[in-house]
Amino acid sequence: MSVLLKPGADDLELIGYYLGKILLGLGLLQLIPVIIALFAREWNSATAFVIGASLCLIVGAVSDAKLATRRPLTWAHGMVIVALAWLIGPLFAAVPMYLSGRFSHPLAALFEGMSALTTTGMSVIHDLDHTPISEDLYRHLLQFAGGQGIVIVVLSLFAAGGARIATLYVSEARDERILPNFIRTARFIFLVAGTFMALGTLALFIALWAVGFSPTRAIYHAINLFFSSFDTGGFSVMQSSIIYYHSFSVEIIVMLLMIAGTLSFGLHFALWNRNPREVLRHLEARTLAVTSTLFFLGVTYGLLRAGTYDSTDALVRKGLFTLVSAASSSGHQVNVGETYLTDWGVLAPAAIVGAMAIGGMASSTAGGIKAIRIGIAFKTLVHDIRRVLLPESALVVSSYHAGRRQILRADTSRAATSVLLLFAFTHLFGAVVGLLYGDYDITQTLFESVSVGSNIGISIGVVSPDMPHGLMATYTAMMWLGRLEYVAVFALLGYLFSLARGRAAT
Amino acid sequence: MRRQQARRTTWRDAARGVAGVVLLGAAVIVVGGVIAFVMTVVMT
Repeated sequence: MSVLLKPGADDLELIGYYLGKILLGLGLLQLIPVIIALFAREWNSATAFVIGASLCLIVGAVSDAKLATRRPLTWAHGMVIVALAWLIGPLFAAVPMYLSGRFSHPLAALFEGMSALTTTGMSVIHDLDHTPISEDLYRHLLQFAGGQGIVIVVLSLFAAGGARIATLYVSEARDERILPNFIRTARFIFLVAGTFMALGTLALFIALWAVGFSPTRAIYHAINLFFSSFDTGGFSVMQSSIIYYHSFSVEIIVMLLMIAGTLSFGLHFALWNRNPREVLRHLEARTLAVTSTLFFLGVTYGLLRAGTYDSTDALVRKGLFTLVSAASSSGHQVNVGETYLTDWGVLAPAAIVGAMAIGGMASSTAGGIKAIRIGIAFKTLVHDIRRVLLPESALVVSSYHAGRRQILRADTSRAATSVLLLFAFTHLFGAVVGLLYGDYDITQTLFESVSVGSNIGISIGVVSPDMPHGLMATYTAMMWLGRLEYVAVFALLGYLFSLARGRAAT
Repeated sequence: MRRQQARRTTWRDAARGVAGVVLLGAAVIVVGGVIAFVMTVVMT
């Protein structure tokens, strides 16, 4: 019988040391809006960011000085560090948000911080249209850091070697090792993001300038739109999201950036390295293509049947855009939230909920169950049917293409279906909690719960600055669970249990 | 994804990567447009 060992003080020091590095990174990130606030003469915002950055940098520097260690990380350490980092990060990110006075309650600021870092994109900020530019940029910068993977971003800057952060990379729900060295993998991820940042921001700038924005306003909107589109975040500068621009060009560029963001970095690597066929052969790309086509058929049928739109142009600009936003887990909107309830009928919102539940690709900036798990679950189903139909003596082997031909193994199937079930359970749990308040119907609570739990961000109107605090706390926890895809959270719970009940090592 | 041997990334690689994504996005929009057009013709 195995004995549960109680973690020692050196284990906790190691965890604290790495968490300190995360805070150092977050503190440096908060210095960017300080500079912007000073230039824009936004003194209140500047003060809030100086306090927030100082807090992060002081705690980070103290932990760096007191807890420095060269002990190697184990898998348990990696999981616990990542799970805690995604709690502590939003908590410290929320400090300047709350100090800005735009949130009615500290919990609302925490919700916003979690929504930003997990690239969900739901917002409970008051008066978004008049938010100072430094605060807007900060929200979008957080989405960029979160989308790239805050732990990997920070540790690839600070950590000494790739091998030590391998556990953290995998724990952060990024299991695709593109290059042999994790630091090189992280650098490739930054290179992809940097390339799209330069070209995407330029394209958006031109499109916004063309519709009459002044150059400074166009560059400000373009930068923020890039962050929230490529990192599949979905925050916007204006309350009305993408509708505000009334520009088909902007919608097309945002759609392209959302698709780029939902593509796994492994497939980006294939495209960069003369292997475009990989995109056509990869199980995850095929799954996403099939499910998105089916969902779009549902959206168009539902919208035409409900009489919401009757032209191809409207179906593309409203229906296709919303589907791409849902399937990429971005959350940009071209409809007012209540429209899904009042004008869209039943089938079209149901198809959007399905697309949101699946989300984008694994090892991308997207959230959701992930297409690879749906593909593997389907392959498992087909495998089981074949096993029943074929003679008992037959050896049934199923395979799929993901980088190379891979044999469908029992543990892969089990892991995929377990996470799929956990997502489904969380979505239902969130919907039921919403119903308990009695102010919303099941369509609203299920839509919002799936959107939050899959880190999407399309809102039907439940999430607002005045929503009940209990529901806000539930949604905050769901965003955390969805981003970490459960495994690291279970590891953290196990670690806490062993701290309380484990036997001290002799 | 199989681990690849690292080699120096060039601007041509980046151009290929961006072109691939743009083509993919264009395919999504074209296919979506065709579906929307056919459905509109059939149902209205």
